[in-house]
Amino acid sequence: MTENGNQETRQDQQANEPSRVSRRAFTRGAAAAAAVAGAAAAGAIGWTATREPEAHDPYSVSRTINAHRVGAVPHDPLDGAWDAHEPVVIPLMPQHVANPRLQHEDGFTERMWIRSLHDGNEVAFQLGWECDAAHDIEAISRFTDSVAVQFPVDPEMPTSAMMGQPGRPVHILQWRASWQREVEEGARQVRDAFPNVWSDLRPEDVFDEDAVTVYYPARHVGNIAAGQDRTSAVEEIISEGFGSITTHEQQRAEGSASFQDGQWTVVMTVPIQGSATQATFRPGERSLVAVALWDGGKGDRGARKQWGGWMRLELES
Amino acid sequence: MSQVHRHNVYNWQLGRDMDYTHDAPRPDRQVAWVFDTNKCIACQTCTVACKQTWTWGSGQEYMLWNNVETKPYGFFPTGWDVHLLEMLGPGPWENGEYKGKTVFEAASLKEDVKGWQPESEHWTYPNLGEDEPAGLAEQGSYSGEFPHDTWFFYLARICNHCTYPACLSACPRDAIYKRPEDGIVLVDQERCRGYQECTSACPYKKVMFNNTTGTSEKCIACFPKIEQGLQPQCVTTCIGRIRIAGFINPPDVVDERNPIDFLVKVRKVALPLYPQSGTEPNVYYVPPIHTPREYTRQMFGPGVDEAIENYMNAKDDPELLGLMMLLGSTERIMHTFEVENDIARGFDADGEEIVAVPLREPTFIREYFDDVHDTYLHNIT
Repeated sequence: MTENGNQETRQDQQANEPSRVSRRAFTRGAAAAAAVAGAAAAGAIGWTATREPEAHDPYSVSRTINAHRVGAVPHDPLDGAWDAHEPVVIPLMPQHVANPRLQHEDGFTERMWIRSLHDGNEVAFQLGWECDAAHDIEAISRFTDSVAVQFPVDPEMPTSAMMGQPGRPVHILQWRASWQREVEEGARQVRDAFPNVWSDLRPEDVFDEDAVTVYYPARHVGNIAAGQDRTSAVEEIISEGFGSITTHEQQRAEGSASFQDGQWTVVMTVPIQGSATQATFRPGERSLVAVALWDGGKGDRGARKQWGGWMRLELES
Repeated sequence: MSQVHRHNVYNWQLGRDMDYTHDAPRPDRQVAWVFDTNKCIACQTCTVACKQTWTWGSGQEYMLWNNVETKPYGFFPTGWDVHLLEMLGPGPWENGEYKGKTVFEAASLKEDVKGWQPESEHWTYPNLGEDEPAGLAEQGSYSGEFPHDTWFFYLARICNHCTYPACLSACPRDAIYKRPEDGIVLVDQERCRGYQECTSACPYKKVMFNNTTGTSEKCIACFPKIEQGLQPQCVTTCIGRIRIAGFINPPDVVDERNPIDFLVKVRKVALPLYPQSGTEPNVYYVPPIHTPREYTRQMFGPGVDEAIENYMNAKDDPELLGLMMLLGSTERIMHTFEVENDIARGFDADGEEIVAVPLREPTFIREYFDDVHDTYLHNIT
């Protein structure tokens, strides 16, 4: 944590509220309130930029993820190179700070494991957890399995583990089973969820491609969630607190996954060289990583998730 | 977003203040509708007009931003209002004040809105219960008095563009917003992530998930038409002329020349649908005159008896009759109206006359037998 970070006040953070909400006076109050709640929540779990740094140094956490150096990072989740290193088991918590909260009566996913490798150009994370089935279709009341890793954009200015805070963004890589399916099997179709669907006339049957997009407004405005030509199952996201996740304009991360014997194994890779708004991973220097997990079969999505707090991340020199 | 950040707002339909998740000042103007249930024949022209205009893309197959359902056994999605009533529990009214809980007040600490998430099966039967009456009609029975022993009625539904939208409350991404210029509630298709919190939260089940784009969509009040001073498609295509769209004034302002204010606040013939939800819906209904009052009050609140009394008196109430005759008589939004010399006139925002109709159409009756063509006529009026 820097001197500037120590001196920053909560009011300053509110002033740094992302401009995206300013055009909506109606929701501005709630967004600011949520940001404050997020900062308070970060304090409740042990750290916030407004508190004494000595007592809340996130680098004091004992668990460390070591990214071992290899010749070339494996993109295959089942590559034997992973087995050379012990996984770190991460205990997970239900998200119980912001509404809507995780509220499963039959238990939540209590743990997952993580390994990390890098080759000087890319860093890779292998993430695994147990799940009763693969949920890779999003439809009415159907949600996808998903996992995310998160890093402070600036490791010297750490931030709330709950998706960052105003002025202190986090860089998130989120893998979705549904996106993996789209990469492998083609664009999402109604038929995926409803095999017997029938429609006698659609816009694409009568209009050319340009005219058709207005009938798919999310696609028309470039919402990545509605994308048709998906090439990666991983989305790079920037976030400054609850409700603020925004697709990064530069998408570089890749993902692959395997579901076998009730277990997901997912690999996400990203270049170690970041940008002003993307984490840079420097071998030999410390950073932080946190995780989040969604069980689509139980209706997890958005804030309804399991999560784990900050862990040290160290890339081998 | 969090339970601790509740705001106190005034909901005139409940006759009291209530908790809401946002500090929600009323918009500069609020679009509002009046639907006369007594004139609806469930022809579904509105449904088709909406569908053909907005929702014929892939992923929207089941999506009916406008639907017409038969009450008491019709629902879209199945059982939507039964679920709502069950969630809220009994909620008494005392002297016009709702003593029960709204969807915001009934929420647990883990959510902002008490909701119900329909499964795909619930969206599968858009016209379930069509024309099914409550009870059996006995042989020889005759419904000559109100309420009818055997009854049903048609309930046309669109998004209520609520003053306090539950969908907006529930969205963890602030992807839903209410436009200050006209109160229309929209889903930002750029920010929506398809979490479907809104589809669960909306008490009226008027936000729907697009299976192709993976985002939620809803009735947009035909805002491109509203912006041009025109009424939405579902209003202007209604062959029964049961609908009118305009702008309602805030609760403390009553303009007798404003058609919506007149129907809702002056004659009080039009009532909100399930006001106990607490969202202050902005589609107002003339309640059915022939249904059991207990059922009707449960659906439209304690104003039912006065509404029906005033509505039944329309033949002796030139202003009300005239305004009802203006419904469906123009595509343009009527900002004011007046009735003089048995002529009802509607005016635009600048006070220019846009439509005039007689209170009573002249009737011509032809002879039953047509001598010229040497034939009997089936239609003589």
